[in-house]
Amino acid sequence: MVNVAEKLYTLSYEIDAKSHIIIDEKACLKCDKKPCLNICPAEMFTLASDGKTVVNSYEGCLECGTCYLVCKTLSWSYPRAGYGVNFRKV
Amino acid sequence: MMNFDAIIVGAGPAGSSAALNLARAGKKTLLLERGTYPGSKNLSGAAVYDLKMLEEIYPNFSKEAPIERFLVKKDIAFITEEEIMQIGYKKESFAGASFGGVTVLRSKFDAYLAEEAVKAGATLITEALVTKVLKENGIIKGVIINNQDIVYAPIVIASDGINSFIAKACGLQKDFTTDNFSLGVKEIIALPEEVINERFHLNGNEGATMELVGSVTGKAYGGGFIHTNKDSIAIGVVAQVESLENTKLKPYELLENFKNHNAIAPLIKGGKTIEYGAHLIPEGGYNCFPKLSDAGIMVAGDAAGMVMVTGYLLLGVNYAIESGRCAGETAVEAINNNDYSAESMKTYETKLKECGLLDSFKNMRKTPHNLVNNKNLQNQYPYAIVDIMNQMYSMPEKPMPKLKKTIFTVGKKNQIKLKELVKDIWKMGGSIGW
Repeated sequence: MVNVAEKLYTLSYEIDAKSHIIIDEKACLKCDKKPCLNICPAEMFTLASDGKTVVNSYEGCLECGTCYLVCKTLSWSYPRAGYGVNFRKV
Repeated sequence: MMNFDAIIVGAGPAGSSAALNLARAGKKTLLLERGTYPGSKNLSGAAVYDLKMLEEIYPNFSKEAPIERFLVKKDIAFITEEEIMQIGYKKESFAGASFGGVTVLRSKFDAYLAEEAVKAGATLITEALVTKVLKENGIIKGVIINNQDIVYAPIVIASDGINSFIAKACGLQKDFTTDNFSLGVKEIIALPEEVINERFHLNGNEGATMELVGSVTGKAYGGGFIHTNKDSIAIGVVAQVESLENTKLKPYELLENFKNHNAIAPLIKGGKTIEYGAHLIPEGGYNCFPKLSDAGIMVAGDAAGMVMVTGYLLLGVNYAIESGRCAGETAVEAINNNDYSAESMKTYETKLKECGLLDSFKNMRKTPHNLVNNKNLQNQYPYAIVDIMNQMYSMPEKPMPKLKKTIFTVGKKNQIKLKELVKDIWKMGGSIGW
């Protein structure tokens, strides 16, 4: 198991109070593959305890857009200006 | 009310280059960046090629740009779980010039490019997300920033990156499909400069880069890369999105396996991961370009899908800068002629053709399909190539067979079908060879 959270700690975030990723739970119920679970490089999507729906967070989002590419039912936009991930001048 | 000659959305390599060219021509230029500073949202390997072109646009580029290292060494490798076979090229006559590429840290590099545009006279506003493109009777009038501030200009250049919401909103972008995109994940691992020089056989500010294909991506399609920065190593995995979906492989697990590979681990041993990141890469090439321009608008860089995949090289930043220049120059002409029609904007394509960009992509238009999305090439041949080496040196057969027999044995063992091999060689040749 890779500790993704530990990787995300290397980044600097300005976290908005509102999520820029909104999933459609009804669509998740009908989705067998659930590609979001494995593909998100920040592991922002996890299977809910019911084993059918998906729970998402947004705070560690790397803003790559892959979830939006593999799932036509979720709504994703860039975070509000000034918020989200910052790649630092390391 | 704020009026400009041109508004550029996104201060990445494409946007800053467009802004630079507009500002140099004395045009009132607005460069908008959604991040807190240019580069704060941008990520790639990052090796940047075509120094000659860069020097033309940015005089003193080699001396002034925040370059990590000058590339003198390039390795291409086939890798399996237990073996690796490398083909290396090194230019030994290093005298302040590389074979054409440098490594950079995007957050510093992009900030430099934007700063150059500002020095030339462009206005940069950060933390400015364009939430709407303003149109009147189909004619572009400007944009709305952060859902509240209106800025006016007759030209908008969409250089807002891979997910280009601007190109989509203006109806220029095609529908995205997962087989035309790859996801890159990367870590920057800090190591002392001397250690990097020793491990990669480098002197001073010489740099090395490595691209690997084979077990790096498991059954998914793609590869791995390693770039040397001054006092860090960038290590990453790039995997085609559709194949990730199908294999259910997790990108960070691929990266972790890659880092732990016996051939790779010694290179990064003792290093500390100081940054993790991910980015989508448009790998569809020429066939996936959007409509590049329309009345009052042009699309440049990643937003236009201008990343080239050849199998031995992944190029994006140079084409972003070059397309930005073409868009900037086109905008200058349009402003001078006071003509923002679709016809006038077509000059952009003419310029892209003149500088060779368009034809480079046309030449390589088959590589995304034939190389990146070729199952045999991704999952089978790297194993066979490495196995041939193994057979040659482990001397499993006596008497020692001729090479032909060794290759035949390996082919059979790896279930390579001659008919498919010939077809693949033909396909590969047709993509990058002839």
